[in-house]
Amino acid sequence: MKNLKYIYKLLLVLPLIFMVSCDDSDDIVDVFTNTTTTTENTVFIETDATSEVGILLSDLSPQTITVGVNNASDTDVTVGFNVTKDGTAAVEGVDYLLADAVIPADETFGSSDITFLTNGTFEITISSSSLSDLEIVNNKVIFLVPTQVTFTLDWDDSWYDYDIFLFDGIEVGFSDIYSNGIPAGLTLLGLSNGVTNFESFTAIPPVGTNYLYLEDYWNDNASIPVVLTVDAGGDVQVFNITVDMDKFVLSIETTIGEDGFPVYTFTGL
Amino acid sequence: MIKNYLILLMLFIGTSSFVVAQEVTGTVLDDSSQPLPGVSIVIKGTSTGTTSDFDGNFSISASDGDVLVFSYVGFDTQEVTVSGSIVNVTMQAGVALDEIVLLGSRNTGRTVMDTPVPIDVIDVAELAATGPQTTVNELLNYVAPSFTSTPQTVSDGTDHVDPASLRGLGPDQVLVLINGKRRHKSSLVNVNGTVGTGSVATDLNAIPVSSIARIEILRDGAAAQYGSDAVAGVINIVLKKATNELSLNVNSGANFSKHSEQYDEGGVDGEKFQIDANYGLDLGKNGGFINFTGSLENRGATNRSDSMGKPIYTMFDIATRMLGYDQAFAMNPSALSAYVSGLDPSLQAVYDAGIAAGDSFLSIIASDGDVTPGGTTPISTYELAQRGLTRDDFRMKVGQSKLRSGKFMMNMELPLDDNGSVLYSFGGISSREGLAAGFFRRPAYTDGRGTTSALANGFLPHISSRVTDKSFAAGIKGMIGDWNVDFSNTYGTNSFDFTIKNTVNATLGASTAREFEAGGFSFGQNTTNLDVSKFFEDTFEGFNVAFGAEYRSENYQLLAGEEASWASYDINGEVVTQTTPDADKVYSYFGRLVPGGSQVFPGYRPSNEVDQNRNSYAGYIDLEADLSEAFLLTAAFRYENYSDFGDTFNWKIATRIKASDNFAIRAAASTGFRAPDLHQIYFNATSTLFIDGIPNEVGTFGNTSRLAQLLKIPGLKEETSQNFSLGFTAKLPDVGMKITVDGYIVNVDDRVGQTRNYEPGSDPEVIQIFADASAGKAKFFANGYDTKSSGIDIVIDHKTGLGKGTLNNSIAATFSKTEVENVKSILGEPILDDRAIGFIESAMPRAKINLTNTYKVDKWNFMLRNVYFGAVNDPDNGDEYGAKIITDLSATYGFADNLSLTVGANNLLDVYPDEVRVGGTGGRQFVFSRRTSQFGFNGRYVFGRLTFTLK
Repeated sequence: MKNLKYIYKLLLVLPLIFMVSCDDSDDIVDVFTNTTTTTENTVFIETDATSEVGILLSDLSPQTITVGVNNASDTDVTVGFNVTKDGTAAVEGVDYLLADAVIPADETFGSSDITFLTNGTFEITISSSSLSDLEIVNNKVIFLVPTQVTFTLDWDDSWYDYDIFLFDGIEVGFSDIYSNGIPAGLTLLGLSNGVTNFESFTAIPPVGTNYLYLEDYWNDNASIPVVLTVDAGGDVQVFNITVDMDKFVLSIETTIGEDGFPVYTFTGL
Repeated sequence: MIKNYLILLMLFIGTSSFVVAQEVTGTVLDDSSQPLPGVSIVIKGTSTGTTSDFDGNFSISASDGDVLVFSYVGFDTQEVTVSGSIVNVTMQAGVALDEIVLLGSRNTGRTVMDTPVPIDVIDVAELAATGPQTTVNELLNYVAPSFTSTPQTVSDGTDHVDPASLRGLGPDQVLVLINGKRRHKSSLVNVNGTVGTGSVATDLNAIPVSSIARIEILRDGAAAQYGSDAVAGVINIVLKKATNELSLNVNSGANFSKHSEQYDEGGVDGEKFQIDANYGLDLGKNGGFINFTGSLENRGATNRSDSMGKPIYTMFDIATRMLGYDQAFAMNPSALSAYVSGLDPSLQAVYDAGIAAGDSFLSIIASDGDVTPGGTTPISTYELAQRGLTRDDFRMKVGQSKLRSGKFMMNMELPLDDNGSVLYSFGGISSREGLAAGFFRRPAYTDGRGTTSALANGFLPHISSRVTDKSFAAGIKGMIGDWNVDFSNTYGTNSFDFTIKNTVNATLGASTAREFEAGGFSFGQNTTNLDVSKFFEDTFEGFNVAFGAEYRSENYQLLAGEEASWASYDINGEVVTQTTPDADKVYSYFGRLVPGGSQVFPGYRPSNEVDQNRNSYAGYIDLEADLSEAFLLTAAFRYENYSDFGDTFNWKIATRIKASDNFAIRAAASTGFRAPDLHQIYFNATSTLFIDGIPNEVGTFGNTSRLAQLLKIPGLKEETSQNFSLGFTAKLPDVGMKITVDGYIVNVDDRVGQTRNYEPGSDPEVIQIFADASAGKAKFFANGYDTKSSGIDIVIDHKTGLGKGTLNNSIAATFSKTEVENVKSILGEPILDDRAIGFIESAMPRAKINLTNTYKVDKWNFMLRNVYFGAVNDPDNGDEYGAKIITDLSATYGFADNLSLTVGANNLLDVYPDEVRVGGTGGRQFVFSRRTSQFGFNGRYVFGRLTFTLK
């Protein structure tokens, strides 16, 4: 073997070169943000809604408005609201009732209840907070307060007692609700149970087909004429009915119009 | 078992008869009296042979009266009868151009032009010295006709095992031999969407190129001779035998390309540094040798991605920067989107547009995700500016993976007596550690896999694959009476271990580890062979009878990773099970269930673990008769029995008719088979696949699984094939030209493939099994379709004197076509969708033409190679990527007898495949298709190589 010393030198140098080539310091490079994050604290309305679509109310019971902050404060936070109706400022005491919400100290959520006095589209946003360094988020909760339908039953002779009931379905041939109870599978949505010759109630018929049931309380079956008046926000329809037995007398088809509010179609049975 | 082997060994040696052999030495020169290295020297009628060294010297143990056959491409084959201990030969150029091959015939004295089936002989030692390619796959892709190797990217372990195919068939339909002995396969089954998906290839890159003397490629079905897998052909790797010489190669290069480092800037990447050393020692004085090869390689990654074009951030990320992650997470979508929109007019515009369109707040928050190609991403644009980042910071690594390897190979023969009895052994070990990246987990992923609670800007996960390959073969061969007997045992294992780096288990949020052991798999194979043959000189014009037997056992193991690599954790840090309430599971801000396991590669679960064995035995008879000088007829029959799917019988008939000394017609017909791999039967896993850019947890279910039974998927059985070939060979001695033309048809029935993804449907039991596997979709391995392949291969070699030097020209062309037929259905749907069919039919070039020119003059050696890669189609969308021509150029100068320098380039003209259509690039990350490419997309590679040869 000639040139042995060259081999030795090579064998010494080559691994060194190889090791240098094996530098893997740049194999994995994470992406790091160069700017400093400024952490802010916000106050916002808490809502489960995942879209801008408003909450369509099915009745006029008070609605809870929940507000939250990202980081709890060591003092109570009072949150004020701004309310609009159909795009313009709503009038407290006329259109709605709403008190300021309070987020207790060391808590991240607080609430207040709003009661609607008229129908329309109500948008609630936060207008103020008692902590000046809280960033007010301009998110909102929207309530669609629909027109209530007033059902009125009117007849001449107060000797007779008739009542009307609103159901979300129908059971043809059903009778004597006071004896048999609400028909199985149906939900009662509203009723009148007066004792004079004038019965009335208001309700918000839900989406779908609903039915009005007329009960002859004394089971006179006297074929007495009655007048059923339906008033849906000024849209009044009159149905003349002869009460010869307990029966379903009206269907109410409820759909949602393009504005998000219910549209009612009444059909006598 | 070992005891039995020893007894057999003693019997074998004891019964050997004695004929006096001697050490014959000599020098081989060319017709200009220059030493000729690499000449094949074989004792006629035996498998004993050697090759001449760099100086043309050789030594071989032979007896007086033995006939030595000297062959070398471009030179006339010479036969010299041994008489004395010195044989010097001068080869004459441009006469016969033949070389003896050891493949395709049990008669070991047959030349390339004599064989009844097409065989290529690749002089690897020569190519490796002058060409830019440094791995077996690379080398064959540029040299061998009908061999196509397609490097992959962003495809898990497949990044490190280039699926290769012969004659357009699958990577698993080629049998690989080392020194004529069956090589074990890789433990990796390709389950990603790449060429060769569903197949188990042989890991050719585990073998150091510098240990190889030559590679023989039999381009014809040969299962009747060699057994399973030899459907498309056989690759035989012949190891070096040189002694008393140290060959040292130092190879370095890099990609100097217009798209290196950054698509639109250019630069240098893919740096490679490789050291190869080969040295041999004499063993005894009867021609014994032991040859060692060591190879160290460090290969850098290349990256051909452009700036990240996908959405990077959502409004949620803006909120997390401003408010902190937990605080932002607590905000409802209405509040968050309203707050963020108030930060900048561009964000307010996004908000307003979303409201006007009636989008949900969550949609508005993630609205950059709806961006159309060429559209804007205002949220990402705003937030990048706020964070001082650019889209370049989110580039993926699309290209060649980083690889570091060490390989060792040994080849030895030790004559045991003077009768030609030889103890031989070869084997090696290689270890490769690859590092490949997956998809960037951008914060914009709405299922929380970006884990912005831990990493505000997401992360680029990496898969580190440790591939360990070990092999050892030992045998003894010699004469028993007049019969050549070869008894051997070959053992090999291949294992993959995956470590997932720079990743997270997203269900662990900010407390996640960043590195996971994800498990792996291994495959072991032990093959015992007994081969007996005899050449009857006096029967016909020569009649070779061979028969033998083989026993093979295989083992496949799949090992689970650490718990955190595969588990989903709930909000309490407990592993999610079927009983975990939905409310306790981890959801992203967008309400989506956060995927568990290590991102990019969920580890294998304990339920995935496999440890399965099978064995097989085989017997064969191989007859080869020269019925006349012109008429050769061969027939082979082989029976195999597998412990799992049963038995198979195959046959082959081939003939060659010489019309003249220089023209012969050859034809062959055969049946073949490929046993389903254990991997294909038992592999099961859940991995993350991106289909149309959407991450899917997809389960691959074992063929024996309950789900497979429910879906009435039959157990895997063997693929069967029918091969037909017809061709001719012609020699034109006057112009120094050799021509072979071979046409073929290969019909494969019941091919094993990976099915399309199936969804649970409505069967409650099926739905539950899907749920148990945490899989939204499932696929399987099934004997599901047939293929019909046809084509023609043309090889023309030419050699002539030019000036003071010698010019060699070689054209190797292949034209092939594969069609899928008779696709079976599961759940009413064909198991292969158009994409899967595309991978088989048109993702690899149907045409490839290689023109290689070498010119040797004085101390110079020039090589110019042009390879035409035909068009391919993208399986994703059917788009065609046009044909390209790649040019390699190199020059070698011999400074001295023991030192030469080669400089050159692969893809000198920096050619790239056609770019993927707009909208199909995955946000400009896959500018070039990740599904298919003819020659990769690394661009120009410039290299230099120093070769020392010291004695």
